[in-house]
Formats: sequence, C-alpha cells, structure tokens
Amino acid sequence: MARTYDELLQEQATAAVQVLGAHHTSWNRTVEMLPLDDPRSGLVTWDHTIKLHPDRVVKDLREMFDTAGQQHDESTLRRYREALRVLLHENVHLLAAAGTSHGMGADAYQEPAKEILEEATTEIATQQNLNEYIKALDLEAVAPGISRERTEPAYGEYVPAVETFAEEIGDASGHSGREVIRQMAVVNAENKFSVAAGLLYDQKLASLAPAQAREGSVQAIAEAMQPAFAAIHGFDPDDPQDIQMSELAGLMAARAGGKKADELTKYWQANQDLRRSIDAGLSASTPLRGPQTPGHGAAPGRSESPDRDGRRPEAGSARPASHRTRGD
Amino acid sequence: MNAWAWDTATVDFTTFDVEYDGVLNRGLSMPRAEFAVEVERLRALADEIEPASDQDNAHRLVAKLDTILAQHQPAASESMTTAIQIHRRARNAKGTLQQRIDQLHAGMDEIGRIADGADREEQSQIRHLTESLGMLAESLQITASEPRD
Repeated sequence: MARTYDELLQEQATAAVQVLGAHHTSWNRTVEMLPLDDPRSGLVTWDHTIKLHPDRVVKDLREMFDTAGQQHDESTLRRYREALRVLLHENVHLLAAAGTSHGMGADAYQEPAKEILEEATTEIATQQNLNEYIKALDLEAVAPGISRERTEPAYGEYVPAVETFAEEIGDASGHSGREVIRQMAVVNAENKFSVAAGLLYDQKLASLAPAQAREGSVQAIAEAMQPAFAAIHGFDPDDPQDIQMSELAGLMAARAGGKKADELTKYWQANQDLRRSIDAGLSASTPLRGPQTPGHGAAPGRSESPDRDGRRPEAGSARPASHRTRGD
Repeated sequence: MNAWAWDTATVDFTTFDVEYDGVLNRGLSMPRAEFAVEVERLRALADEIEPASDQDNAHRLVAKLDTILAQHQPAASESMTTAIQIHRRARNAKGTLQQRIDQLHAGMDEIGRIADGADREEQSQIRHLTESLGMLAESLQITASEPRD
C-alpha cells in the first residue's frame, strides 16, 4: 500500500516482483531525476538505477498523492495511469531470475532479436499487469477510477510480433500466451529466448532426452528462433513501408523453434537406447554439446558452447502460492 | 514455386509447409492487401494436399495468417511513422562505437522534438521509442569503456 510518493518509491519494485511472480528485482534502491530536456519519460540504467522525468512522471505521481481520494476527470486519471505505466515498465525491465540481474543482459541487448524481445515483452507485460500493480499498491483508493482508465500501449511495431510469438509458444507448450509473456518478462534480456525455448523443450523433449541434453538443446532451439526477429530489426532507407507485416516474425520465430524441437524429438525418439545408457551413466561419450552428428551416438544440437557464464535460465519462476493463476 | 504448379502435381504437406514458410518470409515486406492474396493462394493449396487427412493441419496454419490479417493495426500518424523511421535508423547506425552512440543520442533528441509537437494523445507513445535507444547507447558505452584485451 502506498499513500505518499515516497512510500510508492519504497514499494514500487517489490510490488512488481509480487505481481509478475519474479524471483527478484535488480533495483539498486536509487531513483534519480532525468534532466528536464531529456526526451525520455523514464529509464532504467544497466547498473539498476531508475530515472524518472520530473515533469512527465514525478509531477503527476506527486499530484496524485497530494489529491488522494479526490475524484478526477478522465484526462487527469490517464495522466496518473501513464506515469504508473512508466514506473511499472522500468520495474519489469529490472526483474531477473535467480543468480542473474538485469545488467547481465546488457551485452545481449546489442543483439537485434534480443532487443526486440526485451522491449516488446516488457511493454506487453506492463500493459497486462498494470491494474494488478495498481491493486497491489492500493492506488485505487488514492485515485478512484484509475483502474478503469486505459493507457495506449507503446506503438505496436514489435508488440504484435511478440504477442504472436507468445501465443504460438503457448499453444505448443500448453500455456496461455499471457503466461509465456510473464515467464519471459521475469528474466533478463539474455535469457528470454531461452525461456521460450525451454517451454518447447519441456513439452516435447523432457521425457525423451537425457537430463544433460536440456541446456544444449534449449540453446539450439533459442538460436533457431532469433533470425526472424533480427530480420525485422533492420532499416531499409529505400523501403519506407518496411514495418509492414512485422507481426509475421513472431509466427516465423515460433515455427523455427518448433521445427528445431521437432528435429531433436525425432533424434531422441530414434535413440532411446542411447538415452537409457546416458541416464545410467554407461555411455563413454558425452554427446550433448558441440557440433555433433546423429548416428555417432550423439544428439543434434547447437554448434557453440553454452552461455559463457554457464547460467541456465529458469523457465520462469513458479508463482507464489498466494497468487491466482490467470488463464492457465 | 510456380503459382500454378499444383494444378496437376500432387501436393503433400511437406511441399505446402515449404511454400508456407516462403510466404511468411516474403510477407515481412508486403503490403497487407498483397499478403491477403498470398494467404488465399495458400488456402487453395491446402485444399489440394494429399492425403486429405493432412489438409486440416494445413488449414490450421492458414488460419493463423487469417488471424494476423484480421488484427487491426491503426494507421500510424505521420508523426509516429517519422519517429519510427528515426528510431530504426538510429539503432541500426553503423560506424565506431562512439559514432553509433552519437547517432543514438541524436535519434533520441529528434524523436523528443517530434513528440513535443505531436498530438497530446500520441506524445507518450512517441517518447517511448527513445527508451530503447537510450538503453542501447548505454550498453554500447559500457562496451566502449571495457579494457581491450
């Protein structure tokens, strides 16, 4: 519950963790003001500082608390809601899995496909959870009617692509698209594709492949998903309509991941003897990493070594028992 | 694949699947109306698949494209379209790390000016485009400041 602006700052990160069911926030407990002439409304730095614009965000939030309990017109409520949307958006960026942080995704953010997935997932998760966030902070009592207002989502240049991607992954893995978005939102930019890939792996392969195969196989599936998103990241100065149909990229990415998972499934279906011997620890080879050729007692998989930090992203933290499951 | 090749040839699901992927790839840069024609072509192809038991799967795939076509994306205003093009140009800028960082900051400033002059309802959406440019600029700055091996 937040009744003052300062209380909101104290609780805003914890509320995001609670609502999204994340493992933790990377927030370093620092909130700074952006310069007045900064074009942004809010941002989170790679060292986990939240920065807010004094006029576009902080002023509206302070006003909301200064007029707590009063009835406001729609225009005013939309301003307050937009300020809260910015706050939640930055906090969603900060969510991370165990043993990781938002900042560990800084390098990955330079990869086009991962940048697209990070931004669109964060915005979709923000829009999907803004009312729950408002509820967690008990802000309806501060600004009555704020939950009924609707803010415009960030422009759908990539939101439709990621929404489609999440729906397809959900269909293939037995989850709702919304749950896929949630599981991707609670990990950093480095790990979002791996989460989606992990959902496919767990649905199709977990009962067929040895446990040791998971990491390399998930990375192979994740890599297969990325080219489609990378294809819509570029800029073609000769084609001003180059954002047309970009939502197809989500379908393509999910199909590519699904096909890689199917390839691995067929391999392990045909090699259950190998699987049993690996499980029993009897196999002399360790066929689960590096370039491998099926038929040599090895699994098809990625051709590069795993994540250099050796991190295995969780496939989305289990939600606390106190949270209801939405639509799953 | 020749648009009429399946008039006489047997079409199996694998052939359809390859053609489907081809339409998706081409569709990334197609106007919607043109893409809709391609979807109808795929639908006709799905009807030709043998064995017939595979046609349901093919039509299910075509239905996904119907859903995408049916999603209404409001036409972007001139301000938003311009801001998006600046955004894409900035984040795809080539050059040294510092040149790319400078281009990102220039893009953010330009988008900010567009937002200032845009309709009130659009301002926050346009400004939102600056966030990812700033995050990328900071990420590149971190890379630029790392000691070289």
